[in-house]
Amino acid sequence: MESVTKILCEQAQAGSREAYDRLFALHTDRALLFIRSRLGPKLRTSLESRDVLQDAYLAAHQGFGDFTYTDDGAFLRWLCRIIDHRLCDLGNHFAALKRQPVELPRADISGPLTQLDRVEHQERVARALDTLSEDHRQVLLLRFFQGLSAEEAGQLLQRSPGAVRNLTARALVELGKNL
Amino acid sequence: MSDSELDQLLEVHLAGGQPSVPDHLRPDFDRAVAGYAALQRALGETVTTAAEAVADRPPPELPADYEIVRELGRGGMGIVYLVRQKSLGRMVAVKVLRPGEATFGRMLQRFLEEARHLARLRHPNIVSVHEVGRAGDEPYFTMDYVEGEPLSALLARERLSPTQALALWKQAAEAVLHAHAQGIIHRDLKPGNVLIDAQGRAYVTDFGLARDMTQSSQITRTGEVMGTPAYMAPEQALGQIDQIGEATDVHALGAVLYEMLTGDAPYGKDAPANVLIRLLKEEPQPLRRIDKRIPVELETICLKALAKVPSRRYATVRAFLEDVHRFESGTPVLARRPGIVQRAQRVARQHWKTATWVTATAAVMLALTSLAVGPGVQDLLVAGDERHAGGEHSKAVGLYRRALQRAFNTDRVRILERLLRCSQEMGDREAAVDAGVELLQWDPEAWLGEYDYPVAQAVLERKISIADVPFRGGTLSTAELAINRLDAFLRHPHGTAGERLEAADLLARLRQSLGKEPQQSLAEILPKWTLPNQSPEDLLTAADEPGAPVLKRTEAAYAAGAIRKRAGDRTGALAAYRRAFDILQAAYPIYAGTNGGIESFRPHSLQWELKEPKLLRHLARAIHRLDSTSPELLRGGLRFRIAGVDLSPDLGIKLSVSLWNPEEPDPGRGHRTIRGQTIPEVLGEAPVQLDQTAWVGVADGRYRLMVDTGSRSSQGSGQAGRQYNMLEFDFSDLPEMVEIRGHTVELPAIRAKLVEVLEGLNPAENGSIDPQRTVFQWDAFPLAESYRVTLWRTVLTEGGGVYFKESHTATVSLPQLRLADLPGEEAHKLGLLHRGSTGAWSVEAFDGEGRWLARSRAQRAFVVSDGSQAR
Repeated sequence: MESVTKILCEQAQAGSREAYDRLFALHTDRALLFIRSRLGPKLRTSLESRDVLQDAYLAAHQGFGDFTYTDDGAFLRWLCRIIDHRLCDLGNHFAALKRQPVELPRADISGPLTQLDRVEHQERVARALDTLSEDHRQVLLLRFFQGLSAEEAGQLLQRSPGAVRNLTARALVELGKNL
Repeated sequence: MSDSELDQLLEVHLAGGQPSVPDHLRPDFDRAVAGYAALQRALGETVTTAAEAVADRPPPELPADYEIVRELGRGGMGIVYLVRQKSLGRMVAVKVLRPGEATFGRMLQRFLEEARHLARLRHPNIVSVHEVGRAGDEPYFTMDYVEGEPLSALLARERLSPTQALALWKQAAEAVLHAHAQGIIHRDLKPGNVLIDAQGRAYVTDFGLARDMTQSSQITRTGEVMGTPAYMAPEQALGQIDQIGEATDVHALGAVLYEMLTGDAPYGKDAPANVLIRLLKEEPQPLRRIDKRIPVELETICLKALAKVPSRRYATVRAFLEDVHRFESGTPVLARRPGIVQRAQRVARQHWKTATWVTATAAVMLALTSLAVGPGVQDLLVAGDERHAGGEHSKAVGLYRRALQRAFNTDRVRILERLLRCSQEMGDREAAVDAGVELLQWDPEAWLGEYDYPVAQAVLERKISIADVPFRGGTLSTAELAINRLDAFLRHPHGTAGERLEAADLLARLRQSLGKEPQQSLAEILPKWTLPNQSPEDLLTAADEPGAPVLKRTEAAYAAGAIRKRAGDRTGALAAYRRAFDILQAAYPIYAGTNGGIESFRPHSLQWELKEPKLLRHLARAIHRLDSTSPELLRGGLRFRIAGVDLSPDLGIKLSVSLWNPEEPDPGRGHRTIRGQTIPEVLGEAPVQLDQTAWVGVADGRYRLMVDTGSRSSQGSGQAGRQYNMLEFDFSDLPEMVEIRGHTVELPAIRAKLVEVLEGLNPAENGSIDPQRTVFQWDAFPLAESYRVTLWRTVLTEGGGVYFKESHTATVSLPQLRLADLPGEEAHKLGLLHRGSTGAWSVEAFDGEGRWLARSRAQRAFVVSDGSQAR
């Protein structure tokens, strides 16, 4: 069975805007989960998350030519990284965000039930992420959302890969506790 | 170090290995694995989401008897295939739980639930289920195959005539009715869920969201707000789970009918956010405004089904259907035009503080419609209570009286109690006393409050006795009845000082006549707030003490009169009473028509009257009793009239009336400033009646007059003036001096004008604004020196509800506000600078001293139409 993401990626890279929109729409909920957790409970409001998403949507579209599909999850990881970069560029300061009005594709989640189930689960995960310490949340976002290796994450966090693994393990334990 | 051990174990696990975990690490390891699994699940790909992209997804492996012909469509949680059932040589539809979705837990339970629901429903307009089974991992059920198209497709293609529309709609309604009878609420009725076959038969499908009322199933708890915005009921949009019931489907059927008749859904079908705002805030456009050919009755029926509040809709689909049948057969329908009742209701929802009486009135009118069917005692009582709560006491009395005619003895007590209370509030002393007397005969122990004394008098006058005390037996003589009353009266702090003295006198005499108990002392009789036991002369001296509160002085003089009267000194008593009257009248000439101010506008509080007019009336009576030749002092009054504005139920006006004798140096009341003048404190507030007038009883005399609206007296808090809502008044035609001589003086009209409600927004409810350019503007309010603008960000939730979220208030001195002028941080926090965000705003006005003057009539919703850049 071929992954939808893969098909859409191919179509989008072949120039189909529609496919790109669908692809993006398919990942909207998870991108929002990332943004939400990335901002942490203090910074965000749901609207800000959407603003960031809007911003990322454009940035992603511009950089989409460089994206290579490797496996399921690759697009999301790539998207999360773009979002992360945008947030870093902006110094987390959205008030300074220069926004262009964009119509986002509507989040595409399958039927109401799937949506329900998914939304519920994501809500649970998001809440659990909220309860984590800054370190723990950050390491989980880097490693599992952005898909960085322990070494890559270590560079960003200025820790040894071992320490990152360690931190990851602790963070997962905490996450599991708070689910 | 255990952490590094743990992280190695995890690495192995994440790489797909199965590490052996030492016991002491097991709990943490399991948690971490759970955490990881949850993350993966949250981030996982949705493999089967995009139908078109995966059109070649392998079909499920159904039993050999079934041969898949093609996919028919995708429903809430399954894919439906057209299948040939070989053994029976027929076509059936098979619904398979979406492959790729978790086929366990809640999802599966729901899927099977739907199958179970459908299996329970045997109805010609509902597809029947044949079989439930499992193909590999994928559960499925088979059902009738309906060769047809969804109603939505039909509607998209053509407009139906009302007759065609009803023919189809009734079938769908019958199906829903059947489901309700089985305890199943559909909750997602829409044209897309009604299939129409070639013969014009309708089938209701997709019970995927249905809820079983007969079981307290928790399965759907979190899914309650789901549905399709265009056909959702407000209670669904708001996620009011406990409100969802048959009336929710009634609303949906109403919405479907609406669309079948007009071609459009009642709240449109554009962006769900807009639909939801309209659903919650607006009334649907009357059908005949869209198409004149739609019969009036059908419009009425349809709009009733679409009422925002479930209780205002048809209670059941059956009632809905019956009204439609009535319409078809030409008999009058039961639904009523949404006239003033609902308008009032709407207003009341928005301004409950200003319009509490409106709510009640509206409720009563509805209750009255149901009376036509044949009211029982209980209905009459309920209707009466609502009238009563709405301040329409005389109507309430009428209802109570009707109830009384039909009531059994056991009900009489509670009806009579209401009659008494109601008459009391109307100031109809006689009626109250009558009710009290009658009440006593059913319940000799009843508590009549301040009416205990007059009822005792009536008992004596009418020589009432009870031969057989209800429920208890025995007899009560007239004297015993009266003694009980008087005793009760004196035990509670009711009545004026004079009344209490008289009551004590009477009690003592009655007891003497029955050979019981000695007289009570004055100190026992008078409530604590009155006076020490003094001689009449001392009391009269106290009454003339300058600077003492008027009420105290009046009571002192009155007490002196009462003591003298008791001692048989009628002349002295009369002189003291007259003195009391003069003292009070100079400061407080109003004897009727006012009430205790703003308090009475509070919901659920009974109206009350200031003590002064009560005392003034009592004094006049006391004087008249002693000297029947003295002129009747309390006959005249002032009538105010409001012109220029039609009083609708959402406008309440109270006139604050100040009257004082310009020659009296100090009337002993507080002072206040109205329009730059310092005058004695307001005497009372006269509510303007629906006939646009207010009548105030004023004792004969010549007074200075000053009128204002609303209560801004010290007792009113910041919220005080709410009853006059954006009205501007012109009092300049009123005379400065008035003279009352036993007649009602008709005053020139007070001109009122409804201040135009906020401008600057598109008149449509959902104004669209450009935050950079839009200026919120409103008309200047008279006397207002500052305005407080409240801006809300409204949020549309996943479930579709509209919530008022963050708000920001800004105070400005000019009647306008530019969104872009808000401090950047605030504006940003509100998130109102971006295209597509939704908000609402309202304005309140304050005078120079920061007192609350007025508010805009409703929050105005808006949508930010133009994107913008912060800063």
